[in-house]
Amino acid sequence: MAGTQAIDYTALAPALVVAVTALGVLVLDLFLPAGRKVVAAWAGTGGLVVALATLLPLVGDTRRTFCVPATNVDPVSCSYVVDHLTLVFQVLVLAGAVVVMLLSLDTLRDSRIPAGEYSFLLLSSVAGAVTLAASRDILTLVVALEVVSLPAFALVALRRFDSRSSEAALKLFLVSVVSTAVMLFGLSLVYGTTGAVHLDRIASALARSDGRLPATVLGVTLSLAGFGFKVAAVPFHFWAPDTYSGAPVPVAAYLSVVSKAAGFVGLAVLLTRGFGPYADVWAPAVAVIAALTMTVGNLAALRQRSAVRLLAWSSIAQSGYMLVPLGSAAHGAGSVDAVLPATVAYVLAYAVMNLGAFSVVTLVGRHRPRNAIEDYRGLGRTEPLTAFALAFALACLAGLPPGLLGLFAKVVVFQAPVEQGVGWLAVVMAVNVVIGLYYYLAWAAALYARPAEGARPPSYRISWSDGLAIGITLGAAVWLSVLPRMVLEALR
Amino acid sequence: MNPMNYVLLSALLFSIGSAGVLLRRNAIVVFMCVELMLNATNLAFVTFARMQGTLDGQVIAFFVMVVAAAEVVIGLAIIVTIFRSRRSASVDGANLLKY
Amino acid sequence: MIPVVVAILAPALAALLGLGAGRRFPRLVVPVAIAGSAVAFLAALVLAARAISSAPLHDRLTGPTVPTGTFPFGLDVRLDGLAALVSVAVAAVALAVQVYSTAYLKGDPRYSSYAALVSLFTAAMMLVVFADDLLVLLVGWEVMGVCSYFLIGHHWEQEGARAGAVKAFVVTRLGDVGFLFGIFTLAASVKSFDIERVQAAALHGQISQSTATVATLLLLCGVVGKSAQFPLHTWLPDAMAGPTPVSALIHAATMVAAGIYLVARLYDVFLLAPSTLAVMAVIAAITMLGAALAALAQDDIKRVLAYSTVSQLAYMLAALAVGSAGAAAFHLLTHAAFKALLFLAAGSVIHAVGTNLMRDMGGLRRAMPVTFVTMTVGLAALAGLPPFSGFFSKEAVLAAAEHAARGEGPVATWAAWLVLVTGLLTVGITAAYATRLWLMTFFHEARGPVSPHEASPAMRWPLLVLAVPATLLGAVGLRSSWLPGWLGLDESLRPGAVTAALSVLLAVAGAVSVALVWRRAPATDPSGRLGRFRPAFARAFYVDELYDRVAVRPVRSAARAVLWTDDEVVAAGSLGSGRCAGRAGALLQLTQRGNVQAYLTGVLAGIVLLAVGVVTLT
Repeated sequence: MAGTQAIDYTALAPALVVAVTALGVLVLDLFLPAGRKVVAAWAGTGGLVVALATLLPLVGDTRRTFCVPATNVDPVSCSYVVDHLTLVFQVLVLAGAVVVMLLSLDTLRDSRIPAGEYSFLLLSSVAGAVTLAASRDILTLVVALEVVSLPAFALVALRRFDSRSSEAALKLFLVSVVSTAVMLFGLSLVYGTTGAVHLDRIASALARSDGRLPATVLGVTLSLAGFGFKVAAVPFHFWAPDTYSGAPVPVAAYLSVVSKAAGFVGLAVLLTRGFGPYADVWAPAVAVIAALTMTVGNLAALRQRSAVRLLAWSSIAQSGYMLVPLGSAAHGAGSVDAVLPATVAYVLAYAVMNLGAFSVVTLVGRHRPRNAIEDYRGLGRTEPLTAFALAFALACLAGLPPGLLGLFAKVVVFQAPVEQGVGWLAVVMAVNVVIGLYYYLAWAAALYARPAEGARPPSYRISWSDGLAIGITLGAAVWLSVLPRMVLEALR
Repeated sequence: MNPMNYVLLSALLFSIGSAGVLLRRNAIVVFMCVELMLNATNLAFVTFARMQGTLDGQVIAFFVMVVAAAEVVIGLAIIVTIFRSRRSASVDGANLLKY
Repeated sequence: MIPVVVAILAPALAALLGLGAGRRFPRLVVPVAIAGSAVAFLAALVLAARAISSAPLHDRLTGPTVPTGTFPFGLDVRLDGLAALVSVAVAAVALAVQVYSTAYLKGDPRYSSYAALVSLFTAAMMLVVFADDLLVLLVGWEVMGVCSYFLIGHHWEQEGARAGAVKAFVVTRLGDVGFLFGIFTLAASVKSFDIERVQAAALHGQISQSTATVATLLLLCGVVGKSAQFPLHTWLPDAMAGPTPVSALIHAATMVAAGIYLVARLYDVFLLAPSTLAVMAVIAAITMLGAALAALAQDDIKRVLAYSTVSQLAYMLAALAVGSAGAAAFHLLTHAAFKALLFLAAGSVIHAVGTNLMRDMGGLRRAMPVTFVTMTVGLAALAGLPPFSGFFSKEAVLAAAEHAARGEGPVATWAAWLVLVTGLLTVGITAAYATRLWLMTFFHEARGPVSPHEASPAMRWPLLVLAVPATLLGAVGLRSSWLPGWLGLDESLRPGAVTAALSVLLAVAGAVSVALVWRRAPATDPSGRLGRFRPAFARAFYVDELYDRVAVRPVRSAARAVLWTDDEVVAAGSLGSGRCAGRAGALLQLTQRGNVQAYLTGVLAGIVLLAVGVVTLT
């Protein structure tokens, strides 16, 4: 190997900034007086914004770093690649994290959650998510995935005084480590049969091999587990409803948007860049998982009474929609690359609309800890703007005009199975969209119903950080409903 | 000795670990079984590294160890919080959240 | 093209004003609402005059294009003969309904929002009529659905109104999902949402037959939902819980006809798919006969008219199925006139006697002469008696079916025969239920407790005005340069000799047989003679009950089942420690081990199943 290689720090900057800010916040927390701990959270938010700014020089070209030299069969392969896909997800992850931090500010001020540790853990997890988007070898993928997950366990458990919180963390933790172990075992099989760790080299080795070796097929299938857990796909979804409802609501928002987006980028990168030649093996499996995920998620969501649990089941169902394009790959050459933009578009749209819903749910949950759908009755009369933001987010999630963002995203996703000829998946999706309408609309209708007799109409003092979070998400949702091209063509 | 035997051993260890995760009640033992699963994958990685004649697998095994150590730290912390509120380290007891 | 924009925006503006300022300035509500529809009506008249003077008219106005990423969609409007004539029908009925409502809903506390919603509905329907882009059309289509939902639920204090509104919304949405995906399928193959481009692609063979079949079948879902055809017809009778003028406008004349209109607009695509046309023929045949039989045994006067609407819409669908868009449009126009008239007359009756039930009416002929005469006209048109308008348009449908049955249509001959035979049978039954309604309402002696009175002028005049087209509109089909020419179609809409003779015969037979039954016991319901068929007819062949069994309850239980499994997985621990421990079997004990581990069991079992499946199947 020829000497030391240069490291492209510009490409690494976003991840580095977030990681350094995380450490800085932890140190800063030591010097803050007891009543002013929220400043640490502010510093963390600032770090995220700076990290967003460091993405700007990366726009336009593909940067690679941590490369290994070419061999006689493979060209140079790199572990850390910032291409267009990476950038899209890094923007999503960082912007989503900013919104989550804004939502957390009031929670941190009011509750007994330690602000410094909270910000440190959140930023560490974000650093992992930023890295995950750029990872192009299995080791980096696994380590980045764990960096996303491990701080998340602690975040969920951070309300030490609440036994529901630690129970939620335990469930998240156990499902996570078991899925990770299964994924590692699968990856070891893939490594064993291909001898490669870089995704592009795995792809070329898989393409070279003729036939389908059972060990490789098994390895590819087992590798789905870790990311299946992260995106809460059936049968790895069990943790999601319990963890969302046990965790602080902003953490639930984080898990359902940022962490899930990280899971999707990892899954997309692994399946398309690494296992592309084996698409005929994994795509049917993903299709089955997608169908199960949306059906189970939607049916269970029908009977939820708690807002957070409903959003948990709904986000499981939405994961199913996001998996649909990946599940329709494999019929015809080039289809793997053809379906990827649809998944990316839906993940982006989902992040905007789900954060919108969570912003309002966080606000309401702060005043009504039970956070039942019933608590939202009549919100439209006392807080018209907040209620509108939630109603709009729900319309988007349902895919019903005026929530055109969700509608367009569903169109794009729906086109994938239609064009690739996986008709049954399209039908399952269509049926699920109908089921989904019910609970989203029922909730939206409750916002504008008259409050129950004797109940105090909900009215809240909305702090400016909450207002900003709601404003950002609502603004983004409305804007993207009018000009959806930004999302739909994010990858074209 | 045929390296395939090590792969089979690792699969066996992995299965033992998963069985333990599913069957044991005590959270600490469950964690140990998770460690067993992770170490089974380490064995597989090292074996495959030997079979392939590259170092990558061994490097991965080191990283998996680090990850496993971090997982243990957080896992034990969670168990301690559960133990504090419930005076028991049984995973069965945790069922406040359902439906 | 300015009148087109005016026709859409005038009622929209009236709706905005009504919703915004209606509560604060209650005196402005009526003038604003009436002015909105009056302006739309004038604009529509101008358009119709243009369509008639310079037929065949074809014009379009290109609006701004909205980039969506995949295919741009444009806010284009287009004007042709069909759109112009339908817009006149919409605006005329809307104006009549607005005037009529001032008296019918006098003193209603929610009148301002009611009038505004009717205006909004009018605007949305105009948008559907003139839209040249499938997505824009969809927006209008959905807004109509929402207005319909709110207006059915106008009396939301009543359980029936709430349930009817929800049912209408859910059932039509069910169809709309198919409709939405139909649009996507079309757009995906043509790469455009533009109706004109889609039609052109269909004409030039750029849409494969399989794509056309899939797309049209999906679109048909929406049409069947919106136009209340079997098997999604069940919402329309329940929608009668809304105020009667709303039923006249939305659930008789306009919105329910939008499905038919849409098929006519995309007719070239439907012509590519003979199997879809056959499906349409079967649906139409089932619907027209079934709904007519159901109408025969209803006691609620509005439900009779609702089933009659379902049945008449099926005639339009049948016309489309046998290849005659002209006959469908013709029947759409005459039906809009006579059915709006019938509903408004029925509203006048209900207003006078204070009940919907025909067993409490009777003998109203003398007390309400205007209502009696106009309703007679409407019923004669419905029954298809010459020279009223319904006769000619229904004959056009039957003639087209006969034509297709001879193998000259786009659809299989068996389907055309099916349409022809059921169409003729339905003529007889239509005459029978129309006669029953007429006799039970206006003849013999009053059975109700109150002494009825003639309606006020605001309700009388719309009846008289609508009676004119209900009588005369049939004449426009007599010459091929008239209606077919205005529509730009090359077909004859004149009655065929054989079918005309047969259908008049059947209509007279149906009417006379009911009259004979009635004469024996004028105070009772002639449908009592149906014997043991009556309950089946009255419940519309138990379709609602069937849906409850096979759809509503299973969905609820499926939701319960999913939760149960989750519950079983999660709550098994508490169950196991509780009373169930003794009873639970060995199998259940596996899941009773406890919560987190049960999750993990699920995870690992899922992985094993997946791995085994993938490895064995590849």
